[in-house]
Amino acid sequence: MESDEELMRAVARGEEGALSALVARHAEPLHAYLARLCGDASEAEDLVQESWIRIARSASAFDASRRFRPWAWGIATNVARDRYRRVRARGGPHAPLPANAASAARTEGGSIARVDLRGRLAELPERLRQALVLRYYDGLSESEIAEALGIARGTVKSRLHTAVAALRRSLGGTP
Amino acid sequence: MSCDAVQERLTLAFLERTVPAPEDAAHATRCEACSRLARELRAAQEHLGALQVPVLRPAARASCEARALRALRAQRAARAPAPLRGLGRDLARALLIGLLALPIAAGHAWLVAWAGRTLLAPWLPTSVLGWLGIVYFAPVVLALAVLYGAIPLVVVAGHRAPLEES
Repeated sequence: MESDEELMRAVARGEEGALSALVARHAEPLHAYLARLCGDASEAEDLVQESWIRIARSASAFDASRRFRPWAWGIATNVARDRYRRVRARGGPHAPLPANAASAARTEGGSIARVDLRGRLAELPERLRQALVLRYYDGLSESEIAEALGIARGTVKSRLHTAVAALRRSLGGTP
Repeated sequence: MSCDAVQERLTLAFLERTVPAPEDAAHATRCEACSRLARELRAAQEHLGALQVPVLRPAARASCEARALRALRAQRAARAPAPLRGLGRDLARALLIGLLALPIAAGHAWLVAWAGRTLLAPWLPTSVLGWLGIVYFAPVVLALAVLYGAIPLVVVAGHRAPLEES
């Protein structure tokens, strides 16, 4: 089986079959990532389509020495970020997550049996949420996250540490 | 053993979907704050288990692929050289039209020359009339040559224009 990077090189040469193979492999996990990031599966469907369009358009710019997954996840993160900026420019909610997610979590905070983890994630600032979701849900390594988000590895570590601490506090740990 | 360190390890174990270390679990049974966090993490774990992994609808997945392929084709077309398909046919058509127009142009030039010769013959000698004929026919032939020479260029430019617009 061809690696993602080999397929991406074929896409850069214009091979449609290679692009279809990549979509078959990664459309689901990319959608899951975007759904966790923005908190809305249907919005994530729009974002994942936009992400694949950008991946196809950027195929010729793909650096063969890079890994496909962090590169593609980085594109998807940028797509979500652009959408969030557009929403914010129109006076929408401060983050692409549904406005009610965080409040739902706070309302249910007292009930241990009904912890809304998505709501707790929604309470985290976007940059922390991105790092947390990429690391613990999508299984990217710290260096891959650094590649995807275009930041230094040390910054990834620090963001993860802050995110874990914030989540811990949110879940009832000592402040 | 500080609560802060235990709570960090408990949270990491939860995120990494691993079992907390026995000493951390034991600490959590004795310490109220850590015990509360452990309960919340267990509840969150159950919630996670119950959460459906968001599924991409088949229609959305197909649309993903179709739109990505369209984008790839557009990208490829933008990079490709001007398509030559149909160029020969259009060139032949233009030259044929030009060829059909040639007798009209030649007939018109001959008519002008004949009328001029008829009108000027009583006043000018034959040698002068011959020179005037050369002066008249030279630019006509030159203009026709330029016109017919430009036909292939015009046809090729016409083929390139839609591609550049796209």
